[in-house]
Amino acid sequence: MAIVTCRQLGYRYRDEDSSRAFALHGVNLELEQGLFYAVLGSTGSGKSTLLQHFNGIYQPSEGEIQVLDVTFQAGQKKKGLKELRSRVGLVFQFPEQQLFEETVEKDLMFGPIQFGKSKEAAREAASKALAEVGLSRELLERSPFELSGGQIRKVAIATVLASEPELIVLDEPTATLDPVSRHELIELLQELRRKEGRTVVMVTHRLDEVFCAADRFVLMKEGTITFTGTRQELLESPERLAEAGIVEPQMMTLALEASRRTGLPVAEMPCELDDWAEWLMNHSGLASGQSGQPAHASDPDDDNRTALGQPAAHEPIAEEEQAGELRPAGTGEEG
Amino acid sequence: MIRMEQIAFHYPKREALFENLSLHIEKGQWVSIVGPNGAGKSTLAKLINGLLSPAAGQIQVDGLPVTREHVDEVRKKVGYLFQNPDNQFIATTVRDDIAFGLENRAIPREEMLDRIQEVAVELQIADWLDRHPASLSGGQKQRVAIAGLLVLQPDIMIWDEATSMLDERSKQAMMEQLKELHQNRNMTILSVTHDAEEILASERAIVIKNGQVAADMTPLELFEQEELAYECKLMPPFALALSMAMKKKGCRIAPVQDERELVNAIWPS
Amino acid sequence: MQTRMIMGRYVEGDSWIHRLDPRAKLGAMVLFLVAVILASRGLELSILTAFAVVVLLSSRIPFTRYIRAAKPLWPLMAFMFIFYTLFEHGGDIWLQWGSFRITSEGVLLGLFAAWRMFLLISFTSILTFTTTPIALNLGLESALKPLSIVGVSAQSWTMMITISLRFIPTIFQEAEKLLKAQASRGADYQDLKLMDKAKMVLTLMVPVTVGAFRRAEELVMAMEARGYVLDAPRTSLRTLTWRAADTLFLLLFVIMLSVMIVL
Repeated sequence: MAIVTCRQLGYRYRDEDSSRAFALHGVNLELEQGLFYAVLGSTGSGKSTLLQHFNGIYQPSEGEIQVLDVTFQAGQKKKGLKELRSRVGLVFQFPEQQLFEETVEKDLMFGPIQFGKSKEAAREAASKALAEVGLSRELLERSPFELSGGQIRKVAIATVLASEPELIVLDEPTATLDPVSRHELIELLQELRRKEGRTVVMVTHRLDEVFCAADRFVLMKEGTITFTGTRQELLESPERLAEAGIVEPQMMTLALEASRRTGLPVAEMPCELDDWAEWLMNHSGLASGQSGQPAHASDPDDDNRTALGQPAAHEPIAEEEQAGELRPAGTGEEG
Repeated sequence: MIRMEQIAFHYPKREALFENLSLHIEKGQWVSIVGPNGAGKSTLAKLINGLLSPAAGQIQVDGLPVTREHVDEVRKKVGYLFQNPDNQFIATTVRDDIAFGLENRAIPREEMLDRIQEVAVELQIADWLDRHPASLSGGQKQRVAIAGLLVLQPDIMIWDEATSMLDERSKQAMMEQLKELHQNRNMTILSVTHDAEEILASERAIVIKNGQVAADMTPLELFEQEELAYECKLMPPFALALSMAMKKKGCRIAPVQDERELVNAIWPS
Repeated sequence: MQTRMIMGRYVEGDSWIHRLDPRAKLGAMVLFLVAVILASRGLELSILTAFAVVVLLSSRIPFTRYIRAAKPLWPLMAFMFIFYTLFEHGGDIWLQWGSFRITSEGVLLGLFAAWRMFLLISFTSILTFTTTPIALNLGLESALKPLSIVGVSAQSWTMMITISLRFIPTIFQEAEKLLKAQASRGADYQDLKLMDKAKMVLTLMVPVTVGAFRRAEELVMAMEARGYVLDAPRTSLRTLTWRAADTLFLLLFVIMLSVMIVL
């Protein structure tokens, strides 16, 4: 089921200098429920502007966007969007700079209370959200300003999770984090999508960090969408990455090169590091020739592995195909 | 070039950060400073140009003690690049911002104009000289900040997480810049960073932990000590991680730094 | 929005007034202010207005912009007019109602007061309309220089202005982002009642202030690292050059003021 649908969506900043008239233009996009989307693009590609349409912070100057059961059309200004905003959580860049209460708990309760929950229910939501991001309850009484960089970022994301949104939208949540915290954060988002079935949309300019985690990839350039598709489709069109100013992940370069050398399709290649090590040893002759240890013997449990051609979360194939059909019309053709 | 002897330091009302830290850095060396969060990497960098002062111990830069009398001289030799490009852009145009350091050094106007022009051409920012910082991207601002330091002709560059707010493309461009400074200008470089590729491009990795220099080795050795690297919140690039994983599984392969090398190692052509 | 915050009220142009030294313009504004204060009769005000119109037109900025510049002060002008009308008495009585009187002199004085204020605001806008913030700042610095004798640091004042010019847009952007983040968490500024709006602006102050302080701390370090020492001698990339036109411009105002005094 589509949870967000954009049709010819365009956005123009009100009194901006006319040099860059449209921040978004002719955007067609459909987001399926329960998937992890990575939106990639360089500075000024319009990715932040697009995100802010998902809960009505920005409303279209052209075309329309439907989010859940609310439709925004160009020329109409909608107000009273509390209901929608409780279902679509938007996390802005550097969310930690947006914390303002004395304690973590109060900050976490702010959203639920605004959305009409009782104090008790809000308190419960607060501790649940904190647990969801994997932080201990002890932090509830602390001031947000005492926490470490990675912790404070997680708390800030929890402030949005506290309202239990169906769709979670994050604008560069990993920016300025160290690599380990970044990795943990992506795992957390994957959990939210896998265990709780939430839809996650995340903006980043680092494809390598989401390459194995995301189900769908959206590339943006100068206010338009230049590509939407699965990892498999992305692997088939590396030129789209260069065009959008995105650095190709090392894993992708390796997979393409390996496919050239071995003649095997990239779809069969693995995602995980250990699987890759074995795959390479099995397919290059390097292992058997030089170490004498049969590499494939170490892990018989082949069924549980994720391959590059598969969605990240072990979905049934049927669902995957269905989702594929609903891809937006403009896939890969605009620029 | 840089000598720190038995440094002690603590922030007001906090526990001691360093108790007895010593460190020597040779002229022309490119050093990465790494360590867990809160280990004091940034503090260490700020001690070198006198932005902070140690409670005990001595710091020398190019033979000059970093003390009140000499701090001005020391700062002439040390260019310091901060993390947030916005917080080091002082003026309202690129040209005025590059001029800021020259103005502080009371350089005559004619010479200022020449030097600004020179550095602007070198860093390819001549087209932006009259632009306002708000109209530049993060990467562009950081390039302007580098120009503002290079125009002062320092011998040492300190980068304090200078690339962490930038997108991948800008980060790669910044790394090229570092290589250039290192090779062509023989500049001494000290970089506080979490970026694996940047660390691997440097010559020496110094791990600051528990108020001490906990390890001092080549970047590759650091990544091979997986636990220590993880503790410093570092992750190896995919190709390096992969070659190390293959080695662990009994494959005879040397650690490689990028995927091209890996491909060549696996399928020698 | 952004361009407006960056450039202040500057209107791009290339008239002779745009090219004048900011110090000449500052001096002229002071002279004009004196003239407005001295002008108490209709004749003087008329001459002054005619003079102002000629100068304003020569800036080649649409005349309506100057008129609009006084718009925020219309309520004040109206108040002054009513005040004089009600409480100044003299001349013919036009209306009487108990002890309450409206006289010809009261109306006239009220008109004059509003007129003077309008003239002053509209005319002095020429300074900010034709001078970039950078140039204005430089002009201020050299105008304030004599004050260093009495211990006022012109440099620290102008550095303060430079930094404000640089960071006010950034701080506004941050505040705007915070408002959006609040709206996303259910507190939409637009939907709130007046009291709640005020409350919300207060909660915004916390992150904005914390952010500004953190920024200031780093900024100070960045300035120090590049060799800035308060009140140490420094040179300036931007210099002001006084031309004949500047002397002429100032002279024009001196003559105008002399005429006012003689009259």
